[in-house]
This record gives sequence, structure tokens and C-alpha cells, in this order.
Amino acid sequence: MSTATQSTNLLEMRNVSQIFGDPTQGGTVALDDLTFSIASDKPTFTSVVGESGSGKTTLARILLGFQNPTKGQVLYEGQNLADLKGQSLRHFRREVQAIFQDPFEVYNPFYKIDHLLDVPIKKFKLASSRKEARVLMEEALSAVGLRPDETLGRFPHQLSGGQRQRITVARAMLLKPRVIIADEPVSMVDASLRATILETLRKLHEDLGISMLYITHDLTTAYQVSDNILVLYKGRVAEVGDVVPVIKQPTHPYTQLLVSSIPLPDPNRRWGENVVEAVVDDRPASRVGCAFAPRCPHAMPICTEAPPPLYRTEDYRAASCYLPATHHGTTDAAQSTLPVVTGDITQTFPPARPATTPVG
Amino acid sequence: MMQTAHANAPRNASDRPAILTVDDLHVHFQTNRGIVKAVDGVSFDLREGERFGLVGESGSGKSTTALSIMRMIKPPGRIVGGKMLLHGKGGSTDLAQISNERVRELRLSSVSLIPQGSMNSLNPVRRVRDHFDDSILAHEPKMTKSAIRERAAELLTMVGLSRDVEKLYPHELSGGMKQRVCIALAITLEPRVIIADEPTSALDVVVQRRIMETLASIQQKLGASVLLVGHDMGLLAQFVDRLGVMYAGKLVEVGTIHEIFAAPKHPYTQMLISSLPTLAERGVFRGVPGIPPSLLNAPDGCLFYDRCPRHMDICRQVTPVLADVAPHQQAACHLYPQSTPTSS
Repeated sequence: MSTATQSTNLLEMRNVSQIFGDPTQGGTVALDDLTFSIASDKPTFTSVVGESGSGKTTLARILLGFQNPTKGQVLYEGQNLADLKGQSLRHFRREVQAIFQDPFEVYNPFYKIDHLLDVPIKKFKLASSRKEARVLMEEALSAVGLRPDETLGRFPHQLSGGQRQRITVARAMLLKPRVIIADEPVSMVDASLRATILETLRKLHEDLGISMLYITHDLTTAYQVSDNILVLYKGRVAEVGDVVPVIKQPTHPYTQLLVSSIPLPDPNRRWGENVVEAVVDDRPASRVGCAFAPRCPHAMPICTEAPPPLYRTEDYRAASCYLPATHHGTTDAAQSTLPVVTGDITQTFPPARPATTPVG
Repeated sequence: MMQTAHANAPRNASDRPAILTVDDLHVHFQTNRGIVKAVDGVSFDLREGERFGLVGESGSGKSTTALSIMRMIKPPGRIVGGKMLLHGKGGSTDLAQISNERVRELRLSSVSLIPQGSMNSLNPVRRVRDHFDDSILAHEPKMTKSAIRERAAELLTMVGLSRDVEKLYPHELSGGMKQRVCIALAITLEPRVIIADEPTSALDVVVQRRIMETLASIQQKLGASVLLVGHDMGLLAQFVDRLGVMYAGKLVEVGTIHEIFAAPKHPYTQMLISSLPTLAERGVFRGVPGIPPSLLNAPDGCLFYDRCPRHMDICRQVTPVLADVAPHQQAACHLYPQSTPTSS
């Protein structure tokens, strides 16, 4: 299993499926044959969006190595994640950092913030003296917009949710990682403080060249911070590509539903002006046809017969839906001339924007 | 000064009489470091058939205000002053004064709560139907089992669930289903006031929209008034008729939702609205910088001072009061001379 030489990807998942429960009984498919990568040569900022149960957290857990997928493999610098041991595992643990949803639950309430930041410094021997460690901590806190003198020496309960979440970001960046996987980092934080955390992530991405994987159900923030987007529905890719066209003109009816469900901060615009009914489907997905077909207002006979392939509808986007295929010169989706994306879905992402993109 | 907060009755929904009047409510929490004034002189009207929102960040006192109306403040918290008048045909009842016994009678039948985090508000070892039995029998002990079943089925259908959900345990339901069960329970006795405390904060966008649509249709069917507490301005913009903005235990702005979004008066409201992410622009982040003040032994003056881009000297010394700053809009900010109390 030596793929190290041919791989240019920092982190990638190949044909990964995750099935929970008894597969002979069908099980619950959380991820279905997903191939996805984070490039090593240029930093990327990608959002993964979808509703509860779409598989987005499973994707994060698998990439972080918390969980071995049922099928497929995860490679870190070309090496199988499951085989990493000792030094190489430590290396992976340092380069790939995680930020979780709940800033209230990730801290041990008995330790001060200093301890929390000191552990990674000691563990990875980042500093040779107490003084140096202190400087590192202060730098990390300043980078996320916290005043070190107001933060160090305090207990987690003395800080607000927004401050705590910024400390997790500071802790992650202390290790100078190459990838940060942030699973719903702002959903528990007050709306007024979300912007500052997202701005910090964007700054780390641009200034330090850290690749970000931002997992969320909030399309507005996904649109604001990321360059690329991956819309998951019941473990499959619904739509993927450049975030601007995908959110501005969604192709897949599921993306349309998500976009139209955003509560617009404008009392003059009605919620859900879009035609797609906000039907909630709690049943396990059909594995025969398109998983979204039972909720889809445009479902056609073919949708329940075979799962739609990922059609490349434009240069930098693709959607798993027969709809664009039928609009593309033929009424029979099976005869469609649209190219189909196979393999790594990141090939639908536009080339990385220059790191100097002005922000704010 | 508190009368000015809801003195004029403008606008369409506002011709209607108030069903609930909160007047100069004070809620304190006694801690070993001093008194925290979680709610500090809050006054507003909830009118018949109206949807009123309370928005603010964590610790602003919005949930404490809502829970006070339910008389659900637990020690060390205490309602130390003010009135909460529930108006009815036979006169007004002050929810702050009545006995616990009377509170229990009014809960669910007149005022009910859709709690925050429905995940934790259902009893995990009892089926959904048992929750209906408890709620109904506590108020109507003579109701027959079959009548209760009929009523529960009707309620579940109203919130868009199948009647079979009755037989399930809470862990067998998704988050959205649990929240809908909580709504069904809250409207069991057709209350006149429904208090919803961040009913969708843990749910994703599609489910959130469904829940709010359900709540809206129920509200219309019952003709009830809704007090919606939240921190998501987008959600509130889509749901409420009028909005109260809370900051550090005080109402700093009240107005119709259209007026507040068209012309926010208080700098805090202005920052809240401009901090909202929109699909109009990418990569622009505007938060409300700074952190909320400690409410422990809070100083005089405006508590937004430290974060306010337009603060003046007077803001440090004199606490601004909520006063009319536009025909249907009140704000508590010294930028508007009406807000500066004449005798201080």
C-alpha cells in the first residue's frame, strides 16, 4: 500500500462509505462512496453543508481518524490513516486540528486557560522554556483577537461562549497545523459573535495558509467564508463546486430547499418564497434511486430507478440530479450529453484564489 | 418613566388591547459576590393575537424575562419587583403576586411555554401519550381516557405529526419531532399566551422553518399571542410583528419589526442588524465587538458604553430611559434627547 510517491494530497478519502448498524439489515448509510481530498500545495477553504443526518459530522470524524470507515480508506500524505503509529501519528495529530461545536463542553472546568494551551506546547515540545511557552500562548491568543492579560489565569466558566470558541481556535493554531476541521464552530455562539470567529478562521487561512474544512448547516456563513462548497444529502453528494454559483443559483432541488430555508434578516421578504416545500423526511434513504426523490417537487420516474450520477453542469460545479441533464439537449436523462464527474469531487472546485484576496 | 415604554398604541396589530402587560420587572440573582440584576426594569405589552419577539445575546435577560412570566425563576433568582398583568374578561391577574397554586392553574391553560432544548424537556422513560395524560389530567381531572386520546391525536395532527407518535418514547423521535411534540403539549389547553424560548436553536434550517411555520399556523388557529425569545435576528424578522431588543437586563429598543429593520435607532440594534450575514456580500465580517458587561454590581450609566461607537460623556453618568424616538418606536439612548431623564 505504497501510494506516497504519487499522491499530492495532504489528506484524502477514497471511496469512503460509512454504514452504522447491521449492514445485512440495510443499516444506516451515513456516507456513501465519497472521494474527497485536501490538496497539499495550496490552501483551500471548503464548506460541507447539509441537514442533521446528512453525514457531515461523520465525514469530519473519519478525516480526523476518530473512526475507521466501513469501506474505503483515508490517506494522510499518502499513508493510510489506520496504519499510522508513533511518530507519524503524532505528526498527523499535530498537522490536522479540530474545532468542535460546543465551546462549553470541550474544557475541563478545573483547569485554567493556561493549562489548556500549555498541554499542546508540552506535548509537542513547542517551547524550551516557561518564558517561551508564555510568548507562544500570548501570540496565539492575540491572533484570535483575545487580550492575553484578560484571558490567561482565568477559568473557562469566566469566559463567554464566543471567547471560549476563540480559545479553541487559538489552541488549534498554536500547533501551526496545515488543516483545521471545524464542525459547526459557531452554531452555539451568539449571532453577534459569530462574525468574529469566522473572520478569525478566514484570517488564519489567508495569513498562515491553513486549509479549512468548515462543516455547518448554515448556508449564509458558508457563503461568507468559504471558496468551495460540498452539499451532502443522506451521505451522498447533492451538489459541489464554487460556492458563489452553487448558492446563488443552486441546481439541485435540495440545495434550493436549503437556500430558501435561510431566514432572511429582512421582514419585507417572505421566508421560503421558493417553490420547494419544506418537507422533512425522517425515513432512511432509499438506496435504489435518488435519496432526495421522496421530497423532491421535480421527481421524475427515472429518479426512483437509479441514483443520478454527478453531472458537471458548468466548469466549477456539479450536481447529482437528472434535472439539468434533461434540460441539456435531451428529454431522456439517460441520453444526456453532460459530462459526469467520477473520482475525486474536488476536481469541480475552481483553482485556488490568490492568498492576497482582500477581506473585510 | 415606565409608562412611556408602551404608551402609544399604533399600527395594525397594535389597535388590539394588551393581553399581557409586563411593567417594570426586576429579577435579581443573589450570588456570594453580590447581586446580579438579570432583568432590570423591563416593560412591554403583548397584545392580543400578536407575535412579539425579544432578542439579545446570552445573558441579556431575555430568557429570564420569559421564565418570569411563567413564574419559573428558581433561587438564587427572585422576582424582586414589577407587575406582570394577565388581562382577562374578569379583570387582570398579576402573575408576580398570585399563589403557587394559582400559578399552576394558569400554566398551560392560560400561559404556556415551549422550552429551549426540547431534547431535555420530555421525560425519557415515558411515552409521548403519558405526557398528554399528565398535562390534561392536571387541569381537567374528569376527562375520560378516550377523550384524552382523541384530543392528543388532534393536537399531534395539528403540529404535522402522525397520531401514532403517541406510542413512541422521546428517544425514538428526531429533534424536530420532539420540538413539535413540545408545541402540541404547550397548546393542549388552548392558552392565550404562548411563550417560545429559542424553540429552534438546536435544529437545522429546514426543520427550523417547518417548526416556525407550524407555530405560526397554530397561533393563527388559536388566536393566541406569542412571545418569541431568540438571538437570531433573521428568524425574528421572519416571524414577529414587534420586537424588543434587550441588552444587559434592559430593553434598549422596542418597535415594529419593519421599523426596526428599516431604521434601527439604538447603536446596539444597528450593530446587531449590520452584523447579520447576508447572501449579498462575501468575505465581509461585521460582528459586535467587545463582550457584554458583567451584571454584578453594574455601574450607573448606559451599560453598552464600552462597545458603543457613538458614546458620549453623559452615557457614563446617566442611565438612558426608553422613550418614544419615532412614531411607533422607542429607544433608550442619549443620542435621542427624549431618552435623557429630566431629573436625575
